Amino acid sequence: MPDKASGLVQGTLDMLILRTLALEPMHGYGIALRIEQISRGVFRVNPGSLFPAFRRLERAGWIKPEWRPTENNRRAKYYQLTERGRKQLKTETAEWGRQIAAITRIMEIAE
Amino acid sequence: MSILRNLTSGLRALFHKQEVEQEMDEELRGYLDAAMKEKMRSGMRPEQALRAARVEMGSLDAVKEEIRSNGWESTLETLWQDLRYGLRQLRRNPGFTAVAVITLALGIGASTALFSVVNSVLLRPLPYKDPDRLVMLFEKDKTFRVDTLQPDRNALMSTSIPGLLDWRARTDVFDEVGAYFWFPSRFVFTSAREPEEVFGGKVTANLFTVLGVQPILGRSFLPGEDRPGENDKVLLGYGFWQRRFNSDPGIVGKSAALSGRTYTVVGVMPPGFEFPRGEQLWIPYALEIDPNKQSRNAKNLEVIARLKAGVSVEQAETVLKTLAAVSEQRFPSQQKNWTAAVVPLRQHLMGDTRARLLLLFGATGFVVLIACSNLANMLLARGVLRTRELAMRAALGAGRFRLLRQVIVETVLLAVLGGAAGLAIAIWAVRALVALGSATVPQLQGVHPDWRVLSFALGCSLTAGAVSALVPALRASRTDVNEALKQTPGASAASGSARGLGGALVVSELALALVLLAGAGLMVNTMAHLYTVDLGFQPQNLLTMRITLPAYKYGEIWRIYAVRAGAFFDQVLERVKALPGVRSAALIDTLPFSGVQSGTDIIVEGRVQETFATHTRVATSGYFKTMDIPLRVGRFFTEQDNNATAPVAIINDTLARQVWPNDNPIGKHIGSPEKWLTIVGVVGAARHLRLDLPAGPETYRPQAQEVGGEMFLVLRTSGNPTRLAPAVRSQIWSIDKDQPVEDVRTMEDRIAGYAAAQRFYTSLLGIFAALALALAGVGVYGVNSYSVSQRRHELGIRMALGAQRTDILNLVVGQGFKLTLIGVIVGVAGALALRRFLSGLLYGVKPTDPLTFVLVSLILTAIALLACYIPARRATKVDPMVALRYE
Repeated sequence: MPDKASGLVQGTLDMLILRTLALEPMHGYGIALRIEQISRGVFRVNPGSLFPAFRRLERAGWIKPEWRPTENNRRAKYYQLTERGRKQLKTETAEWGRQIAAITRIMEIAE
Repeated sequence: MSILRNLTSGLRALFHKQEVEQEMDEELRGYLDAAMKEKMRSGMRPEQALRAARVEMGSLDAVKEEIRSNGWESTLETLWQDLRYGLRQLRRNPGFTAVAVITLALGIGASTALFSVVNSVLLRPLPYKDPDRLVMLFEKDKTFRVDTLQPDRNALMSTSIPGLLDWRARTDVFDEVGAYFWFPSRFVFTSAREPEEVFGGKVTANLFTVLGVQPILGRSFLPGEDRPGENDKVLLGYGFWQRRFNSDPGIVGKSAALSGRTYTVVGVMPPGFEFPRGEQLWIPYALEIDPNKQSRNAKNLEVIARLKAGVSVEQAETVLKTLAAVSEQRFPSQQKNWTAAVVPLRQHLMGDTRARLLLLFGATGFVVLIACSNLANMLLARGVLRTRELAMRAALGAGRFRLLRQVIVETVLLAVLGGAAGLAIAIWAVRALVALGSATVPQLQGVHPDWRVLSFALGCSLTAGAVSALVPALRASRTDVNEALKQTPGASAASGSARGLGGALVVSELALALVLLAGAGLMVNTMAHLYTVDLGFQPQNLLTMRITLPAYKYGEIWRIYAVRAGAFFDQVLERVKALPGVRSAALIDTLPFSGVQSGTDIIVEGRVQETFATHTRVATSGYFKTMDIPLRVGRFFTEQDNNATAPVAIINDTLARQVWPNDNPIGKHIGSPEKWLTIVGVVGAARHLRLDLPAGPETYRPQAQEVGGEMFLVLRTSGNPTRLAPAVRSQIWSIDKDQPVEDVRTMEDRIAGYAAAQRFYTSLLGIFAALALALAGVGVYGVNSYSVSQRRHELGIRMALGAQRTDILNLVVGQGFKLTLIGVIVGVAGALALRRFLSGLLYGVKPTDPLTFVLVSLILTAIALLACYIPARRATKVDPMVALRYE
């Protein structure tokens, strides 16, 4: 099965997760689905990358897990953005913008 | 913050593993559920949706492993796995583990013990404030040449009072300059119990300020208390205060009678303070402060100074040398050819102990090296045997790093075990060393292993582990999996380079061991020479003791003292001679091996241009007979050699040969024109201060004609001399109950004391050599038995083809013999190259002594061959059929 997430630029998965969580707290599959939907199927994140990323972000203090009950009487782990995570998202977004602009310029010259 | 969170979350993963795993399961299940639901919403049937979701997820275990390996705790956990696996491996090979641990423990134990000693003697700060700034100041004789009468003396000399005052004035280099009289005074302390002599220092009032040591009770001396008339104060040593004053806390201000004078106790010094030479009390030295009244010739003051912060020893020495040059100009009659020297206090206290301890430390380094190469060899051999196992693990997916780490973990584990056992050995060995060497090595009493020693041991073992692990681990990680798996266990492929390396290690082990053996052999040889040296007298069954008659009782004026002392000693001799068990008794002022020496220059009648240096002795008539010193010509002293008859002397044959090489000295006159002494006899020379130096020229005078100061009583007994001691003492006390009798020892005990340093270093070197020999033997054995097990198949074929047992023996032992030979040759070369380190410690044997070298080479070869023979014999017992089928 092709793992499209591996096509992601190194480190962007974290940013995408943060961006997704900026709107509302979500559980793991919700995040994966949202990324896939918004990217119109370009990025499909598999659990082997997604969950380690959660652990990483959790330890950095950017997201916070919370167990919430679901409709069928189970509980699901929801992740929500922390204040620090919000700040981090802002700096990463800015940095991303600069990089994209720079890469675009280089690519235009190359053509 | 984030580090803390990282830590707590990691710790949670480690310690609440189940909980964390459960949550992970739950989350993943939730993910699967959600994925399935989503797919059902887009129209899939439930089974279909479940399968699709599972396919998307991939292997659940792989995902979990990914998640787990995310944090630092997973590294820790795999390390823990390696560790447990390593421990299992070690347990599975108890023989290997035991030998490796013991090898390391011995090497590390020996080095740690020695390090503790070196550490405390050389590195540990002296128990004074900022000891690195403390220096001894000396005058230095520019014309100094080694004096045959005083071989231990050097060009450094204490100074005079004007000299001290000159130095004191240089406050630009010294914070404080203190001094003490160059030899300790003996004070007679009498009380209801036995009379006792105590060593006391005469010190300047500021000495304790220089050292930065405070009394535990009372105060130290005040400025000015070292002026004449003010100096009736005393500071007590802790032990003396405990012993003779019952630790009286109210002692300060009370008076104490010492040598017939009354002193006021001003304080008690802390335990262990015995500066400078084991003093038990201190009184102020009466300085005459008008320098013009004092001669610069009276160089009686040892000077200790505290350097100003930032001033170096060299700078201080330059200043003193400039001062000395000025004095040389101003006082040419007294200070001509005198300059000055500054010696750090530690160096002054250490003497030549430093070089010797470093030598021993070097020897320990050798032992550690041998232990390490032994371990490396064993690991190497095992590494080859384990090639298949490692290849299997590599095939199952272990990375190169993981494999390397596994091997390193196992080795470090061994090293730590060895280190711990080594530390236990070290603690025990330090105790033994202190017991053995406390008399000869300064500052040894307080030695105990400290944290630095611990880190040293750990460093040693880890370095040993790392070094030993490096070679086999690298080999293992480079192994081609396919080749290794194809290989049959125990076959000899790919072991050629390992065998070469093993051989090199064995050769170096043997060479190191031989160097140590040669050193130890030479030292043992020296000991043998020292113990069998002809002393010039018979030391067996001699009881000796010192009797110093206090001048306050027997008269400060010499003639009065002489009469009273003579009478006292006559009585003593008369009474002790009557004791059962005493065969003869005599008195002498400078007894051999008592630490006392004296000397003077004499001239010979008719040859007044020459002077001859001689030691002077004052003895009673029975001395030569008691000591068993042989008479060469003439006669001994008799009762008739007294005040009423002509002054006579007996010389030893060293002096006789020196002055009258071709003539009979009997009847000749020596001494000085004011008082010629007639030589009546020539006796054999008796060794005096050192076992390893022949006796110097000696001149004896009869006690009845020239009363000595302090006297040693010597008794030749028919039985065990120590048993007579109480009777002798009580006889003396029956004459004067307040007369101290000190230093009661047998002559053999005194001599043993003088050989103690030699014995200390010899036994240590001997222990190291024995260790090295044992370790090298184990090393040779290990390599050979490994090589035999590797060649089992080959040997089986040889035997199947008709090789006899002796052929196999020759084959295997011959190979070991070759290595041994190379090791011995390299070792002999090394020992010869290092011989100068031993030169100062040897007596009666050259550092190149061929007999010693041949002997130790033979011993080493024998051990090595034995170590080869055992596995070889086992090889011949192999059933060829078993060996062939082994594959």
